[in-house]
Amino acid sequence: MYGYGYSYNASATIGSLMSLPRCLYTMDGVDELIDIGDVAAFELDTFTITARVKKGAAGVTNTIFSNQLQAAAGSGLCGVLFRWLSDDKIYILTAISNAYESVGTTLTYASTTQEYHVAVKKSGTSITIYVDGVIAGTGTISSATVDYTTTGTKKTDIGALWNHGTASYGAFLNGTVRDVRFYNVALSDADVLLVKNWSYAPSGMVANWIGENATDTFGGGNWTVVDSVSANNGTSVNMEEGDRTC
Amino acid sequence: MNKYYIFETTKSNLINVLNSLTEKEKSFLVVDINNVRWNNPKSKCVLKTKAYSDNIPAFLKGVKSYSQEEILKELSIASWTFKI
Repeated sequence: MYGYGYSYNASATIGSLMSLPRCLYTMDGVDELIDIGDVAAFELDTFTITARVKKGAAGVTNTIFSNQLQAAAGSGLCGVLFRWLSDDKIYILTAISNAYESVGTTLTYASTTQEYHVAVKKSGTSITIYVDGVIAGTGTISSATVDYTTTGTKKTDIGALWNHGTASYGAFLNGTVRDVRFYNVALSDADVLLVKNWSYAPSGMVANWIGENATDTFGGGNWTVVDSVSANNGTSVNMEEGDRTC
Repeated sequence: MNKYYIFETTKSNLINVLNSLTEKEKSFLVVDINNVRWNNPKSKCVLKTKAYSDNIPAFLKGVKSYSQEEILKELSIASWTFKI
């Protein structure tokens, strides 16, 4: 509005006053997800995953992010799975030598009205889970090396996991998700808090979906969910145009 | 809001049924055949459709549909979920 004293010639000032759109996707918990596919660059032993998630129902499994995962026994379990379980605690499952090892939060996070900022980092054998910028769980796993090998296919997904044996997805997110980030470093506690506060200052971010720089488009019945860092774009599965809101 | 239907069928039969639909009828469906949700072993599947349409395929007419809340209860049984 002109009446507030802002000038369109003062582009720097206007730019600092305007915030970019912060969009989100709503998933139904039945069959909706964002598939990013098989991205070898994500097969890291040191990483941080962050996201903003609101659950649509408590007491159910909700996958937040699965990284290079294949969940069929007998086909070489692999990858990393970040999710709520039905006890409303948040867990990370890490494949070590064809078996999953789990670390979870101490408390439960059951709200269906609050959007949580969740993060998990792995450094060596140490796992740290954060909720809203605060450490919520710690643990160790038996090896620093994540098992990313499988005889089947593996996928990176937002809001679901991939099972090669049944050629299908599972453990769908019922709720909303946005600002999913993947870092190739173990962020410090201070940096996780910065990310929680929407900062892009911490270095090491190799992927960001549904963040402030998202330029997602809808076509052919699906959303192209843009990775604004490395163009490892995702594709919505079983979702409609109205499932993305800004 | 979407509607959800549960069918007991095979994948090949489902493909045949969906391929027989007109383009308008296909536009009523949200799911892609490759991403239909099946239980294990594959005998039941979930078809998701838009809530309202004048192009409801004949094979869906008269079939019980579920809301999101109702279908989630149906899917909460173990055979529809992964163990990990």
